[in-house]
Amino acid sequence: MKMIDALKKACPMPVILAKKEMDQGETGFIVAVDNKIAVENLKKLASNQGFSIEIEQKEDNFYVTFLKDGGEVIRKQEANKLIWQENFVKGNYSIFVGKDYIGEGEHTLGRSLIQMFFYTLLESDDLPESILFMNSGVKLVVEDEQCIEHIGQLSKKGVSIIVCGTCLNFYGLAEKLQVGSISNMYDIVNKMQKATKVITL
Amino acid sequence: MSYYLFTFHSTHDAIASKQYLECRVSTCIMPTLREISNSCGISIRVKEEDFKKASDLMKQGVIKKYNVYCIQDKQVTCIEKNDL
Repeated sequence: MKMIDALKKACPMPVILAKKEMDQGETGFIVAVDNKIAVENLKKLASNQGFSIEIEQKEDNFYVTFLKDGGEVIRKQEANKLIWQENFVKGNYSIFVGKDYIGEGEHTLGRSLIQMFFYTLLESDDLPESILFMNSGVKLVVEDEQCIEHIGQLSKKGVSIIVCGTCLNFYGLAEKLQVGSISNMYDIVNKMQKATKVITL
Repeated sequence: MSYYLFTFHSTHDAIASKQYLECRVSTCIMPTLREISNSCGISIRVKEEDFKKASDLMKQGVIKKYNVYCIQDKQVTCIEKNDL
């Protein structure tokens, strides 16, 4: 059964998306929303359009199944596996590195902290989908030997290393990138949107 | 695989030692292992093959308060204690 992802979408998007499915002749689909008001609105829509409705709550989200007479019923879990986007699998998070140090205060300490951060991350099992570098963060993948070593290892383990081209260009470092791929704002924003969480150092 | 760890009394000593060593021998700064309790949170890791050089440099250096550990297959052994 088709799953419509309306999580984090502001009103009236969930209703618009559901109506769109109905207009296309769908007789069975599920809409995922993250608030009770959306659920109420979808219930009203279903009632107006002659659909029956089933609501399942999982943690903070609600899964509203729309069914017209003759609609196919597939267990929601199977539907999740078939159509649910990859980004909702556990572990799809991104780390945003906007500067070449952690915290505010002494820069020397801050740089040491970020070196240790990448060391510790590399040792852990739960790796991010991607690490995004912008502004002075790009210096880490150009001139910091320890970070380059750890980030290189992370890259080998499948973590995408995304480095802002504009930032490299600004600092005159474009030719000196040691690890990762040069990218742009579209790609970076896209990664942030697709991630289940974005950790900003 | 084994490596050596220098642990310090204070973070200032750790960072100063890191700056002192890193232009002379290959080092890696890492969070102090949980098994080692009585030191600051920053340790300096050196590879087995670089240990002799690092050890000699530290003995000649200004920072005197540090311990040295050998980590082999997750076994942590203290091999040098200097006032910590």
